[in-house]
Amino acid sequence: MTSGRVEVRDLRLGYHGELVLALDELTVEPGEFVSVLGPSGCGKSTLLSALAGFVEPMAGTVHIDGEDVTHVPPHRRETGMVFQSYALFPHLTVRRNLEYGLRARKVPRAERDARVAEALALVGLEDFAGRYPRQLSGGQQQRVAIARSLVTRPRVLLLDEPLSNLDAKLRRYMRHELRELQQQVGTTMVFVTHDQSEALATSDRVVLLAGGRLEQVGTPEDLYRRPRTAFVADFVGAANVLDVRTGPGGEPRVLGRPYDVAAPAPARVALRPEVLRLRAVTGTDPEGSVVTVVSVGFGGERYDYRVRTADGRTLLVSPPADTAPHPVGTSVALHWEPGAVVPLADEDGAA
Amino acid sequence: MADRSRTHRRTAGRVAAAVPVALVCAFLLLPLVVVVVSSFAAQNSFRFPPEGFSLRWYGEVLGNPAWVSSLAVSARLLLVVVPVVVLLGTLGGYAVGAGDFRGRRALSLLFVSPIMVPSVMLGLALLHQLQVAGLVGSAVGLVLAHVVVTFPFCVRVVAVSAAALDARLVRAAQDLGASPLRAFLTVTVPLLRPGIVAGAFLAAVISLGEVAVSVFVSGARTVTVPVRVYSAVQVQMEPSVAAISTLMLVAAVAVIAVLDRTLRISRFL
Amino acid sequence: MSAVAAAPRARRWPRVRPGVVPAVLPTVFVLVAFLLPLAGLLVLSLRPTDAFNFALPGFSLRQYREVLTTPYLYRSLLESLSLAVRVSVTCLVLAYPVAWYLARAAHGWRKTLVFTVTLSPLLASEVVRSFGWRIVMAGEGPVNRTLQALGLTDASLPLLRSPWTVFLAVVHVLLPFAVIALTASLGAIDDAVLRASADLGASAAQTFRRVVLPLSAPGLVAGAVIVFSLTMGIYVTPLLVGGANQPLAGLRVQSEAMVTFNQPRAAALSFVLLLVTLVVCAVVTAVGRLAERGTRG
Repeated sequence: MTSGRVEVRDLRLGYHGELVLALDELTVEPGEFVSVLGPSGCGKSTLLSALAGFVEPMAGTVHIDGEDVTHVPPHRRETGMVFQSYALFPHLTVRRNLEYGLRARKVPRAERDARVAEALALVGLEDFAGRYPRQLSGGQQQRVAIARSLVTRPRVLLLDEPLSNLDAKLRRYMRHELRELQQQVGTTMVFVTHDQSEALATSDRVVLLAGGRLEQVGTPEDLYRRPRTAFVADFVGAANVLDVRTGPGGEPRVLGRPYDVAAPAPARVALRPEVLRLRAVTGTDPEGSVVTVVSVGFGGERYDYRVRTADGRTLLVSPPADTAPHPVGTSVALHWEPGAVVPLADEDGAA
Repeated sequence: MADRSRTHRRTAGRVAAAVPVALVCAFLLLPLVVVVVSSFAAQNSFRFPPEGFSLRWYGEVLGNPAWVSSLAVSARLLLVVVPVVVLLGTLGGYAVGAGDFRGRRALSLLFVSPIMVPSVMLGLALLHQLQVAGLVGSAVGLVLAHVVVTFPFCVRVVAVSAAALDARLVRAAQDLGASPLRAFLTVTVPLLRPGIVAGAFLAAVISLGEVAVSVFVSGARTVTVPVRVYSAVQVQMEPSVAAISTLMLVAAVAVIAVLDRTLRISRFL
Repeated sequence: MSAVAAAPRARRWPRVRPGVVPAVLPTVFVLVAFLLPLAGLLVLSLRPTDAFNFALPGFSLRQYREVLTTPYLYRSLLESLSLAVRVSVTCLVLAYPVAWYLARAAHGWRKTLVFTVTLSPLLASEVVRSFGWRIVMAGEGPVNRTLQALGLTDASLPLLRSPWTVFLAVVHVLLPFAVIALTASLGAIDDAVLRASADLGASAAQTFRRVVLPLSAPGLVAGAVIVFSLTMGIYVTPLLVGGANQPLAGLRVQSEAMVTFNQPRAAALSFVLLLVTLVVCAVVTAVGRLAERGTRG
């Protein structure tokens, strides 16, 4: 399948002259599942609106399959949008909702029926064709919304936080279903979410936005293991962001222990709570690595500690729960495996 | 024990709350019931309770060319006024209810302002304007008067529907390939339909009963039923007036009851 | 949206909303059929007149001077003012329990019945309602017959000539408007607020005085404004129930215009009437806003 390539160049988006998002370059490959992740207000939904044609860019271009669609109105864009609230037509049955886009395209009746039947089967709602949206559960409405967009065979399917109106359990289930559906139909999908676990679990690549700028693009593993900035490290899974200090011999140290990753040492590094271990203090532990347990909770596989360093910083530590926990108030030493420290780029994103 | 006294008190409270509602309803119904009852009287007076039962006054109404012609005038007027006011009211209500433009609030005030002007003044103003235009006594004046009077109600009802419109549905329609016009006709209009239908019925009922403005602008050949009742009541009290009033009343009550059951127009209040 | 849906989040989409285009046709209509005639009437009221009360070219404030100096005319304004205040207060008091019921009761046949009964006067023609009151208050009508049956009076009372009959009839005509205005604002009160008040130990009376009444202030103001302004100009009901001789402004406008054919004077009187009405309504609205702010601040 070759269709569904989306290219964004030098895009500037905003309302009433106020810049909301600046995106210099983003390409979504055909058949790719890309998540756009970021905290609220980062401009991710505005990006989706621009791809769908609801927002005209202040500058820059949007190409779909090589065609410049920057100024093409939404109804001639051949993109499909799944809205957060589903936006199902309340006055039409499920079948008529699905037929809506096909009627607008004047698809002949026989083909229309076939395609609607196919789309209903795809989302497992064959028995609900005659129902109205209000007679469906949230998860079913969600599937109707996806089927309604897919039935028009869009070049790109745009999903605006489609899972956020579902309860937690259903959300996790739909996550997988969405992923499997995408692999089945092979349509390019751009999926907007503020939930990092959702983004990591579903996507081929993740686009992380913050404050109207691109923070990092990469595979979920990239973002988790090699975050470029403190923001990325903290937003994609929790992270302890630490300053790199200079030891007595001028060598770089993290929490008193030698920095052992690639030179030159960055100004700051991240340490994930999961890679940290707590052991009883011995004479060889440097002063910086000795911390006091502030609180501890049991999280199933792991303990969740909050500890305080000598200079008053609070860190999160989540070691495996295979021994009895260290009691609150005791002093313990922090350890980690070689190579667990993640170097971070300078905060202005220059790297 | 405590539980029982509580339910007891709650029941007592409910009854106490129902009494004023029932009394007000009785007050509202009294004159209407009296009209209906006296329309079936056998005698030519308004003696209560009426003696005997007859339908002679209905026969008299339907055998009287003046009443029949007024019925025809009212009906024909309705057929012109309702489509016109529905068109204007739908456009206006959609604009001020869902619109996004400067001066929307001012415009919505303008649209309902005919309600704020006393009907006696509106009637006089229209009469004067018709005199200037040489259209006194013509059907034009009557139609204009009725559209002006019913328009604010129609606008308000449609505006309530329009304000509840979910704009994302229009977006969804466009995203699915519908042009703005197609989206308007296939999504917006169907969603506004309850408001439009309610506005149409409201306009019909108000037009049927309108008298205060009509008195000024109706000519010798354009006497609506209420205007003829207005004249008749001033000249002589006759049970035939009660009969025609009952006919109008039954029509209006039936319309509003059916409407509330089917469209729940109480939510437009 | 559905049972599973979480609380609705803030709308992030810029809405697809109509511009000014659909408003053009109705605006033109209102200008031509409403504002233009009113402007014509204003001009008429400022014209000098000949001996037959026909307007002449020129400018004159004579009509306004006469409206404000002739007792026959200015007393009608005062009388209308007094009637309008009494009718507004009465309508709001009577409408409150009904509106409370309509706003709170579950949808069912009983509510439909109350709703229909409440609106039926509004939907029956004003002439029918007035005619009804003529019969109710007639010499051998239900009220007189009941009084006689109870032995309270021997001869039938001339009820139709009593100003109270007109008052009752006007209240009857306008009560539905008060109910509509109050139902809207009482329906907007969150049930949780009432439960919270009761939970905090307030008695039903305290909840009403401290919570319901202040929260229904917008409805009270809206109801007062609409009933007041409609009473100020009313003429059909007083005319049909009590006759043409009552000193009410609406009746005077009607008789100047249709009986003595002095249109310029009728026009001037109607503008003074409109002005008085608008001023009072503005004051009521402002006081309502202040009161609302007082209870919130």
